[in-house]
Amino acid sequence: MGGVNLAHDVLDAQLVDHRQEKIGRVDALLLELEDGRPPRVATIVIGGAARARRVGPWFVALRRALRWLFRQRAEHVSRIPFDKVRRIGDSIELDVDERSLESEHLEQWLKERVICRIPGAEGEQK
Amino acid sequence: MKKWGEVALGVVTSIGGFLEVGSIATSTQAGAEFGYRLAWVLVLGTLSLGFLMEMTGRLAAVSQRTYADLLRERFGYRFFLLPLAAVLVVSFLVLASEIGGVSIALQMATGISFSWWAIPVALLGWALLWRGTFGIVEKGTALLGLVAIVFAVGALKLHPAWPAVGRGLLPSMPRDDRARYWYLAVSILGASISPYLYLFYSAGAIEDGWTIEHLGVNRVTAGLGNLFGGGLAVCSLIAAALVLAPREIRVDRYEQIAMVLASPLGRAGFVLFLATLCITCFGSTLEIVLALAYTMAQGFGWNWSENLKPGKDARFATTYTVLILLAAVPVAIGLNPLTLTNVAMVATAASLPVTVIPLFVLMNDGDILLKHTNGWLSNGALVFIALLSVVLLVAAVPLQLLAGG
Amino acid sequence: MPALASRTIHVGALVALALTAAACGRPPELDKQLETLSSWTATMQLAREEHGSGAITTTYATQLRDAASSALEETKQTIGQTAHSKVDSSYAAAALDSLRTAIRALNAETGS
Repeated sequence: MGGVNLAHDVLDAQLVDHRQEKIGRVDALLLELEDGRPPRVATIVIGGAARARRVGPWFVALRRALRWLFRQRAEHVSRIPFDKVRRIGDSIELDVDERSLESEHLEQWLKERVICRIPGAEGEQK
Repeated sequence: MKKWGEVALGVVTSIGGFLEVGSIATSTQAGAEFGYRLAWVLVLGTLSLGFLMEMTGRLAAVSQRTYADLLRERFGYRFFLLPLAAVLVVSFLVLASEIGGVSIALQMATGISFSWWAIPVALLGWALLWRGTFGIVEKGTALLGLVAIVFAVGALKLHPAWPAVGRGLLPSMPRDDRARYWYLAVSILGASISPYLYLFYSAGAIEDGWTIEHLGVNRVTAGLGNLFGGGLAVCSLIAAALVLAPREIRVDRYEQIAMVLASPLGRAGFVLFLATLCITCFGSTLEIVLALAYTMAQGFGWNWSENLKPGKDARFATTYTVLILLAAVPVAIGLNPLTLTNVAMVATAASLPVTVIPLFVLMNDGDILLKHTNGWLSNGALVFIALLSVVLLVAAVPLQLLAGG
Repeated sequence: MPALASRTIHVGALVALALTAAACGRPPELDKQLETLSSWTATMQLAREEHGSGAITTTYATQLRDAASSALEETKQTIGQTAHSKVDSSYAAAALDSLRTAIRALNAETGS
């Protein structure tokens, strides 16, 4: 009995990129529906409204209000084609680089604007 | 051989970790007002914490995931936000109290008012987290925390009547001042069983690379560490019972507690008391900040580790930076550290159900723990602790209002 | 109800209240204040001993003294805010005096 239990093993699972850096959790899966063919898992979605929806409608509304308040236009969502999945285990490994992901926007922004301004931040291991 | 070195380290960390501003404040208040009669609550708290730590340690070693991580995964994002919020609020209060503890110790040593010390202490803590590795933070605070043994020395020097102490270690009902008795009982339990302790322990197991091979190490560390730590807290209760209670001195301010060790041990006792307060509270400050940052990072799937340079885990680093600086504010604006501590302890006690009850589900899940799920003893203990946590939740607010101080 | 009868009832109620209050002894609030005062008095005495034997520093003893002084002021204000019987007032005055004396004794010991 092969196959993968999407709800149990994929949804909300920890994602890592090709260098084993953690890039968040699976917030939604997009299925592709075509006539005459079985549904296909097409895309992994990280971040954005999909994540907010998982908390509840009140949170979606709150998020919308805050985005309006701070005049945020860009949706920091990553939509990764499912064929980028390399391995499904304790965490799901994707053939992407975290630096190119929209959903890692906050991490990148903090890194550039805040963290790396303070001495001692650069490098790999301490 | 290396494993037993790790055990020793773990035990030592627990000793210092157990004794911090909360246990010192609550144990000495209890000793001053009720003699030995509340010692049994310390025993109860110590045993409960020991069980909880062993379990979250086992969880991490077998599944290679921390408790926060598994909480999110098993119960879903929406549910996870509840324990996260509770732990954040409550641990923040405790964090502010610990900074208060260091600040008061420095005030007693130098005469400079405690509110001036809050920000420098937070900055020093931040610098250590920024540059230090998990090993340094853990080992450093562990070894320095051994200074807490002065409480045992002080208690012994006071020649307690051991039969009376023994009676205090058994549960008893109060004769008078009932509301105050139970209030102190609740705050002792809040000081002993703090969620950040078992969350941190679980993350620490991962940072230290524990695996299934380490289950024995885990059991010994959790058991012995808490035994010694709890023992030191009982010693501080005994010392207060023998120095303060006979003179009917109530602890209304932190400053009064130093006399508890100055009396039996003279100047050395006084100096070592200040050192203990300073070091154990500082160690706990680092521990709590890390525990909170871990919980957020693990729950939200960010990169995290104290061994990575901050550039590699920017959100994790930002979290601990913001938390430690914010937590300095209550003390910096001059809030009474003892009142802050008492409120933090009771709030902690009240918040226990949200982190204890889900643990029951996880510890019996064969998918996560393979063949290392809970046996009857652990499950029995966990059910008892869960029931206790609900009682505490119900009793906390009324008791704080009736007899808080 | 006729005016005289209602006034009698009011007076009766007041008398009953006063008798009950007297019968219950000191109000618990005052008890708490007295405990605070005696706790700080004992603190000052212990501090004096410990300073005398060199166990505690003058810096620290001064902090204890300051804490005791502010406790004295606060308690004095709290006691002053409610009216007390003559007996209670004398207890309070004695307790305040003990603390004042103990603070002065500590000052003498530390030389401040």
